[in-house]
Amino acid sequence: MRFQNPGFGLGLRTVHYDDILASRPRVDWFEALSENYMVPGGKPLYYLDRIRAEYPVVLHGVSLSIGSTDPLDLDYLKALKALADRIQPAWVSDHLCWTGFARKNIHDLLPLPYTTEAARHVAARIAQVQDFLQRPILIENVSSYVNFDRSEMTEWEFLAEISERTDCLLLLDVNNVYVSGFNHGFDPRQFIDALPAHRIQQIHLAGHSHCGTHIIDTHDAPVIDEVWDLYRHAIEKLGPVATMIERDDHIPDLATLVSELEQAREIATTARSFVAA
Amino acid sequence: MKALAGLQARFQKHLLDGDPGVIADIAGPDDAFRQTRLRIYYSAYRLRLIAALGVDYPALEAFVGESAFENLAAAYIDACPSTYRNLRWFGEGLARFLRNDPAFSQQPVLAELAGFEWAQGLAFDADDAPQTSFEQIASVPPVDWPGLRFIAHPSLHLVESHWNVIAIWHAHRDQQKMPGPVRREEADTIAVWRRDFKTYFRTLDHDETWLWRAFAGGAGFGDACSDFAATTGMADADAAQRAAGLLRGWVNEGWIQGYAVSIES
Repeated sequence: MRFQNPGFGLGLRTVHYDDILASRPRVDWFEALSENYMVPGGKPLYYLDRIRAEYPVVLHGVSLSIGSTDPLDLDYLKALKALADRIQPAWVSDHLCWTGFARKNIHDLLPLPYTTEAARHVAARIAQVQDFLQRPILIENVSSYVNFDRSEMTEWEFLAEISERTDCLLLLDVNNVYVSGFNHGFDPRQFIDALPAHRIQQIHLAGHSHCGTHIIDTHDAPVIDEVWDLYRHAIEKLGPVATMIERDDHIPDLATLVSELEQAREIATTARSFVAA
Repeated sequence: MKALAGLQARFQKHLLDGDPGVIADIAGPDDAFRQTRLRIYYSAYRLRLIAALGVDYPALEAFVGESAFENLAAAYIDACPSTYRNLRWFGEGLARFLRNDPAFSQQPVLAELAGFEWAQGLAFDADDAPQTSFEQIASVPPVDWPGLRFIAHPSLHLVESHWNVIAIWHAHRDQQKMPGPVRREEADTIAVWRRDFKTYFRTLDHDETWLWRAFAGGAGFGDACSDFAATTGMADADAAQRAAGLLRGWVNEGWIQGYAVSIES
């Protein structure tokens, strides 16, 4: 079962802390990067607490490594649970990927082969994490640059499979679908259409870097028109879904991101009208 | 899970040292395509970690220059692959690496500058804890002062440096001409701490370092003052007065989280 839809949000970034508290921008919620606040104390947690007092917050992690064949990191899970207990986020998410093997960490969102073996493995770990955190988690599709020969299903079939097995929810990164679609030659609309709509809790929108023969997911630029079109398609297919702009680098001032978020509101509003008509 | 583990081992080995074993696992029309795509991950791994080190060590980067810093960071990344779940801690071993690696140990200023900057990072997000006031300590009855012990604030870190790391750091902060390395015969002790979400540092006087270390080692005020007098050659009353003055300064700066009184035997 999905959580309530809080509307339109932004990724919470350090450079915007003071501006958020001073200007109270028209943003319905913020997404905090979990690891940035899994520290003993100081300014990061101080600001997160203050912003949480004013806005709903969700937690988004990059280090769960749900697809790794290493054992789950209990210390990480304990720290994540402690943060969730403190912040009371609307939900907690991470990525469909692995980040390291044999206790080393690459600090990247590395791709999985889409095999039955991997789906069973990932599903078992999602179930463990959900049991530990005492809440369903959201799993996000990542941008990828390679596919594995051994894959037995598509990425969207894999996501559907693990969500069905575990009752987890999905975070649909529309930019990542676009990037991976270009890199692997699939139709991004097919990806979105094939996902279980009732499990999609959140949408990410972002920009990327086009290198001609491939696209690199840099999350450092405005959303491009093709991704906006894909977002409209997603909303027409899914109905209203909590949506946010995720900018990780070359972060502009808050007003610029709020303005970009208005575009998402506008598209979602007209797309809903289209559905209603 | 065996097949998945094998694939992850090969993929990671490629990222760490370029081992080609995983190429055969990648789908694609030819090896050139597979290698091009794998290269994206290979490069991103290094670029991300170099960028993270640049955030932790901005003065070190300014001191050696961007290109040399990339080489330095790449050497660290290859020698000390991350075992940290959170990227926040990846740079923890850089000062130790620079101190011990033959390519960098000939320039000891690098390790000391790294240690200084890492201490600032530790102070920045150290555990939140109260900072006691001098009024609170002054309320301890005089009879209990000999047994007074102090608890350091968790943000406080002391670093030793023979080199002009503070001058280098200031030159970076103020975007001034970077000084060359200058060594002093006797090491300075630099305290780094946080107060009101701002990170501070300053160099300690030699007797101050001695007394702080005595308190940090668990000495009570009475014993510390006696030993302080013996060490500095001051009269007992002068030593006690100097110690009380230093204590007041530490309290005002936020170095003291709390205190405990124990009965002296």
